[in-house]
Amino acid sequence: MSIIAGVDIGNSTTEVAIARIEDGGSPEFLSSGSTMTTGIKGTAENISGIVQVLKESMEAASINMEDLELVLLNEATPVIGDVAMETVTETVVTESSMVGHNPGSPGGEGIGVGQTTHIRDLEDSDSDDSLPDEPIIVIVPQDYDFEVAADIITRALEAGVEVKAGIVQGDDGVLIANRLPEALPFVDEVAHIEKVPLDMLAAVEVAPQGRAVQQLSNPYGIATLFSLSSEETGHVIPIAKALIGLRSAVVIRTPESDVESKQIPAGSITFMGENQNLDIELEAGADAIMDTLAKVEPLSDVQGESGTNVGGMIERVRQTMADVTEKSLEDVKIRDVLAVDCQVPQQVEGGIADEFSTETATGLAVMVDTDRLLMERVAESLSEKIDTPVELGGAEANTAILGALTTPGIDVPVAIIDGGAGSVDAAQFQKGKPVEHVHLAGAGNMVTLLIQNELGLERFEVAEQIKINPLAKVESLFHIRHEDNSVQFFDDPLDSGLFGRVVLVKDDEFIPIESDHTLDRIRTVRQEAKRRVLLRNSIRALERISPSNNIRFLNFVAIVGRFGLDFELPQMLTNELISFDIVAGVANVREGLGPTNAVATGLIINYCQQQDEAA
Amino acid sequence: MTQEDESPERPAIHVSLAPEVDEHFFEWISFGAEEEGIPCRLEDADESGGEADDVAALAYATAKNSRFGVGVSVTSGKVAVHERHMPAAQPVIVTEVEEDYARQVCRMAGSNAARLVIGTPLRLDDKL
Repeated sequence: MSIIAGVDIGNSTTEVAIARIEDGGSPEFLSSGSTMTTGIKGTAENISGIVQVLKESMEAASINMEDLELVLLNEATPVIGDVAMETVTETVVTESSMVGHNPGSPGGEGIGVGQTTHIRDLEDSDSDDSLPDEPIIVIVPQDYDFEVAADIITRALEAGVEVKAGIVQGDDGVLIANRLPEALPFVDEVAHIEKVPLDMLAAVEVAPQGRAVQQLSNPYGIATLFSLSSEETGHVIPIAKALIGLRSAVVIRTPESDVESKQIPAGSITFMGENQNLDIELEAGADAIMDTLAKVEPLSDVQGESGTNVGGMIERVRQTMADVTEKSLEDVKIRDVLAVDCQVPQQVEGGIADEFSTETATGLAVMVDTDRLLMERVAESLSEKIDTPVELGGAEANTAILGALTTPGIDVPVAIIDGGAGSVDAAQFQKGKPVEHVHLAGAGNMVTLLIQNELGLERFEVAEQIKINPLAKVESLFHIRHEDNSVQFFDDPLDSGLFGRVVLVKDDEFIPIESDHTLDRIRTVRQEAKRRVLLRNSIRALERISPSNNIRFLNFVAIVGRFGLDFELPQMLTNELISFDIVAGVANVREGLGPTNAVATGLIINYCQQQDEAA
Repeated sequence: MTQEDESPERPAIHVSLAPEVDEHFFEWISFGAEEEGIPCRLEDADESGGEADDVAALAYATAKNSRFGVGVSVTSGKVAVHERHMPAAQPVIVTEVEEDYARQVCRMAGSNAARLVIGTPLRLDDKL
């Protein structure tokens, strides 16, 4: 009879299972534990976390540390992943020629076309000859109080000046428009109003409430307002594109208006396979890139065209991987790539009111092999520290399968899906055959990167929180509406700073998201990111390990590890896999531990089986 | 098209001023609400019936009279925005009114009262 422990060091958590083993018998599990992994997986810093969780678990099983006879350590998944993103297009406005944004409350509605004219030129309304005699767009800087401005404009209108619309610096658009004898469109909150050129032909459009600008987001609409030639119309496409979906907009025609959406030379990727090499342009998009990769597989390395964006991107990733694995650059071989297209808001160069334009970007996740020496070093120092033998107890894929098989209702042939920050891992086991396993690039960190870029968030950490927590909208000082539309009331008023905001629901805490995105938009981006990375990679991984690459030949699929803990991914996977006619769900290791502890449990079962075979 | 309306039946943000407070304060508050598209109505001093020296109590009484359930009150030195479901002694926002910034502070209070009605995030620190 002996007491042994299985220890699984993951990127984020360290898990432990303790069992008693009768001679030649099956294990009796006594306790389990888990804690945050201390330091980077596979380094000496892991020891303090392991020792702590071992002690806790032994205590929970009422056994002294001295009675522990053997510790089994996981052989870590031998891959590390990294992600990068590069914009493929960019909109540059070299002459200030448009204003487009969504202020809370523009004034009036409609379209006005005229010469941009400073409001001071209307002040002198007594002498008629000094007043403009053509249609004008009035420019109102912040130092004009709205009552004063409305008064000046009213008198100008009465004196016969054709004021067609206005551009206002302060948040005064409605207040000015409400005080005029006729309804005119006013765009407000234009921060850099001094950049609006004077005496130029301009068009102002304010859409009715609940609508977006029609004329100025249509290239032909702009052409109509400014009488443009067909060649000139071609030049306004980037402007029209940047104004799509906005409530109010201004387009100003400057003499050498030079706005262009320029294509950055994105470069090409070379996939080097064991049988052939193929090139693909990054601009071709994610699907074409992934198709090319599929033709080349099995992949031995990847190169980016030097001097281009993608070249820089792949070399950066290679450098990061070289630093982490302590290998030389030439020895870092990229073993898998996942490409994902996304739409990224980018600030327009030279805009007047901090305009954003949606640009196409491509995200790449790559993965490289590491070696096993790292875990051996951890095993040695752990053994010294606790004065107990420590062994590496079998490949992670095998042990995870053994752990998952303790789930009620499961049977062989079985496949498992596991995933972390850098890679999606899958393994498949049939009686009498060796376990097949695969690691694919692109997992949790790729999802976070997509969320961060598509929502235009400054901090990775905020995107990470959005990834793992459901959303809610604070609808009143006493209730919130969760993203599933259910309403939760509170006895005490919520913080007034949360009012009207989209928040993350984290345990019992509400964290406001500092952005103007609606709840629906954030949720769509989050779910799409998970779908395009995690779901797609899970399917790709299952295909690779399935007999004849056909997922239908699998009977049972169990989700283990961090993927199983996500609040929505398991349901997304189950839904997707139902169409293949297989049982797919979250594992419930040892009938109660859920998706966790599969590897730690499997380490012990694996040990017992080996003892059996030896006997 | 002004937003003032004397009918007490019409939904509006209600505003009450302590007796010593100048009527200009109401105007400034109403500008803030008008920019957000919500009407404001000035209550008579006896209508609200709150303690004229307690800005929270006055604002609470005013909020209860409003069909939107949102009220703003000004006493010497303070402006409060209240909502009728809040505890009486705990206004949503209370701001000190300094002479030089009275106009901005009042406009901000009007804007925030309107935001409580339309359900958009409040402006708690930035200037108008």
